[in-house]
Amino acid sequence: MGKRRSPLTYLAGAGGLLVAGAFPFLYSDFYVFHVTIVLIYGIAILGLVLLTGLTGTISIGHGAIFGIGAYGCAITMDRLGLPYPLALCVSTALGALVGLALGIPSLRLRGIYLGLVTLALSLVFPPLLMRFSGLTGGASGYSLPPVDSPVGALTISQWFYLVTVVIGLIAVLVLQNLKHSARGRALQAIRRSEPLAAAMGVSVGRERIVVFVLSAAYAALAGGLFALVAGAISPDAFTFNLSANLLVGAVVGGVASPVGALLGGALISFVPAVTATLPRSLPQYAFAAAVLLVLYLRPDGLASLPDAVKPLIRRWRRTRSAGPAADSTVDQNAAEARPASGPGDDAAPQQSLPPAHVRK
Amino acid sequence: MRTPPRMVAIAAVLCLLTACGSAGRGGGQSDPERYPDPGISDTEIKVAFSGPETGPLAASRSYGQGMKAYFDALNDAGGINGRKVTFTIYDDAYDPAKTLANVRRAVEQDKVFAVSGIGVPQNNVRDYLNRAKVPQIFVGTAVSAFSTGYATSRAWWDDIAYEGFLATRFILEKEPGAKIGVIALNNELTSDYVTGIKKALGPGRAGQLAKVVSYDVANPDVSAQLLELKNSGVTAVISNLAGLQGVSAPKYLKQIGWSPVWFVEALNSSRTAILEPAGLDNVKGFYSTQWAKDPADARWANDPGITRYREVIAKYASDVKPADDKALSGYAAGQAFADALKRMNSPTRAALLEAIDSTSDLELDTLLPGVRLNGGAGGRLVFQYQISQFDGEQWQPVGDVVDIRQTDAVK
Repeated sequence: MGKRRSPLTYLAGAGGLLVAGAFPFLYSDFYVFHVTIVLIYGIAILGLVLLTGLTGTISIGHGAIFGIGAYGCAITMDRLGLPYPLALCVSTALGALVGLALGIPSLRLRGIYLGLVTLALSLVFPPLLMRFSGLTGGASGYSLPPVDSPVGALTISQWFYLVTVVIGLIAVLVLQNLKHSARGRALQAIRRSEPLAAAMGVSVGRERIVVFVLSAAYAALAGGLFALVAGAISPDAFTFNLSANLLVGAVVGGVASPVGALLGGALISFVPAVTATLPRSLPQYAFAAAVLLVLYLRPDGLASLPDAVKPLIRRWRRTRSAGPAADSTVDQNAAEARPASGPGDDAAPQQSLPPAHVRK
Repeated sequence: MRTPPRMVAIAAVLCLLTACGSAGRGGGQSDPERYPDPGISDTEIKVAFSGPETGPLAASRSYGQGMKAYFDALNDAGGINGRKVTFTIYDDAYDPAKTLANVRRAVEQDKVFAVSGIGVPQNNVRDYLNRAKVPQIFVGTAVSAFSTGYATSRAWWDDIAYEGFLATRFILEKEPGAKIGVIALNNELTSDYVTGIKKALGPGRAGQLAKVVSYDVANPDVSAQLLELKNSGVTAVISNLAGLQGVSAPKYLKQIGWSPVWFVEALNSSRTAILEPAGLDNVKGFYSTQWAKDPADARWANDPGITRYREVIAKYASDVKPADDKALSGYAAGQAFADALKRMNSPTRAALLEAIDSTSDLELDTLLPGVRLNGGAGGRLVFQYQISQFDGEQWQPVGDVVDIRQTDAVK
């Protein structure tokens, strides 16, 4: 969208990619596995970022869609003998179909009512898996056929990590492109005011469905990856808890940015894992405390943390370069304060400024 | 110049993860020749247990706690051949994704010798553990197929199909023309139960299995299913009713004045969990196919084994009630586990599995008199049962201990 990026952005991006690429070769398979799971949850949460961040719609059903992706992948691999790349495509398509089915009620329902529809999905999904145990393997679930790494030098954990990183990057790029496209602006218009968007010629219904489909496809794709990486799945993995956790991850991470999705994924998988051996109930307290802390201190999510640090750095810089340079620093601040005040949620603050400011 | 927060944050997170990684490394083996497998040394054996410490199924945490208490007490008494057992419980809240994370952490990071656990989520780590050749020892599960065909998986609870078989045989001896009904949890347990019952009936009398109904764990009311059984002309019921359902069913039977021959599964015959809340009068005359002592049964009030068990639980797992039969079950699993660890002929994982499979007529002071453990089919040790009847006060033995291996229920 024509925003000028500083060289530092590219440097940080390249550095991030380098670290991401080198990571599996520096650390044991265990960490690689764990970070893969974080990324997978991150991709699912990206789906929520799309839905909630762009259109302001809440879904408490993404855990079930994640599960549908996982089962879709497992069943097509085991029953139909499809190779896993194809199985992942099937998962994604299944998720898109469910998204379509969920998108239709979203034409008539809003806010809490739509939330309840998605809640129903997450509640009914595990019992359905039990009901059709012939297909799903019932309570014991499914063991996926083992997958070998196609590259001899890589272990299977390293391979799936790299696959997940690539898929995650594509997912982020698609999201960013969408956000900054005409459709993205239409979606933001819908989020602000539906009648206004409609009046400006935006097809509100169609856009809502498109977003639901895309968002669900993200969740199901992540679910398929999860099944592959976990190697075995069962209904207990896709209960209401997962839906709630994904939503918590999205809100705590920051519902408006890809970084938030990654942080959210890390929160919902790391906090329980790290605290698993603490005495009874402490893990739950730790998780709850982490969530509350973030929500109290950074209501925009962890991803907005840099914005909290920035004024401090600025103040520090100002005190150091005090004197004649002070004037220009202030000018700079005025220019950068706005666009930076919500990585990803840039639309909100920008639009609250006088138009002339935005155009600059 | 504007600082780009997004990419910097990504890089920062990745660096952070990378940094976290280096923290838990190390802890290698001292002597790889003597100890080719991780998790065991001259002084220590590391065992991990993954189960629900929190969440809706946290009540079953007493299984792991019982096992841990046994090992802690054993360590204070000198350990096993000079080795202390470091028994760590990892909370998975009964969420398979967490179980997998726990087990991978235990195996790959904490480098344990063996893994244990409870319930269905253990299915999700079974393939992983078998591929990694890590023993998955004495999992609390009654599902028939759990450890069948898995080289490193062993189940502690008995195969529910065996209980179905023995209950049916007992019913047929008492009443050859009995019409049998089944009520069980709506998962594999129902079909496993029915498999055992059908085997006992044989093809000739298959028609005597009149009705099979199942229930959902979330619905405490099973009155509709009980009426269905009654209306099908059932005269004997074989049941696997846990918790709320186990408590409500006997009350309802009393209400409708129906008193068929009634069998309860051993795991759901606990005095404190089921019988007392259901009303001792209402469950008088119930049968069960038991193998372990019920720590709350007055019969064992002065029993040395149960007294010792109570002391250990009080000292090492003070937040667990000694009357909890799952705590006793875990404690007993710990006893059999320790016995196998003691008998290993080399400090390897393969030797542990071999020692478990070669368990022979092992008597534990927590099992019913005459019941012995033997390594055998399906990766299990429990094949001997004492059919018991509740006399309104205590479980009383009916007949002698029976060995399912002497029937055609075991392949």
